Amino acid sequence: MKLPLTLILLGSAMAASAQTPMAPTAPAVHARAIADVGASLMQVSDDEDDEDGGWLSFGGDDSDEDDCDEEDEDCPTAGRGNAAPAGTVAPPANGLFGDGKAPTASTN
Amino acid sequence: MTPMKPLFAALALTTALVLPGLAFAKPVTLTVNMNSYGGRGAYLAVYVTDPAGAYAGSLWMAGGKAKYYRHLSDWARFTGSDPAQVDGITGASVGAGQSLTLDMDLADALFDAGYTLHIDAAVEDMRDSPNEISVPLTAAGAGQAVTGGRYIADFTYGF
Repeated sequence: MKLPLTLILLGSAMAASAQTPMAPTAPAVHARAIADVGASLMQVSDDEDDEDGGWLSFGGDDSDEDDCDEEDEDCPTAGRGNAAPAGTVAPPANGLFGDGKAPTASTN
Repeated sequence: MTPMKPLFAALALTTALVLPGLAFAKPVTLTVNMNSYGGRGAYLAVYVTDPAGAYAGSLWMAGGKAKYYRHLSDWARFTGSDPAQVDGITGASVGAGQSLTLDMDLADALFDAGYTLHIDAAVEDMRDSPNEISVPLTAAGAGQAVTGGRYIADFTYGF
């Protein structure tokens, strides 16, 4: 039984080595397939644009998922409150306003 | 008399440098016409950069809640979203299809000197739109409508 088993093992090894020339092409095919799938997913989900783009619940009733809470340390305006409305204080002395007179606004 | 000349020259120079920014101003009207974009009121940051592209200051903020200022991303990058930058020059957000008219006295030194007016826009649940308007401040540009993009239909300044 030892000789047939040896022959079977030898045959299997040779068959496996005969497949070796195909091996280098296989990863390339897989890589292309993965890249294709990845490109399709990027186009469909477009997650990065969403993160950089819209914002949720400005002025909404309940959820503030993408708004920063003023008590949140990561919120850039945390602890600084809102800006003073026009007419309540003088405009900033930034040198842009000629005489310090406050701008006025109207909408229609 | 010779020692007086440098002093006089220095005085004249400093006067010439300081006065344009402080003393001379003109009434300017800024008009922003909004698109009918189908969303809630837009936050708008109106600000100016100097000839080097550095932030010079803000002219108006449409929208009163500071926690949303980070969505006016270019303005926020320049100012750190600092509400103090728009103290006294903040009003309500501007609705879709509306027109915002701002009347203000602006320093003459801003015109024909390389300064640029910018408007960042942002709307709830919609994409942010930094630098939607970017227009050099020139006398020749007065009355010339500048087309916006996502939320602003056009912008005009006039004397």
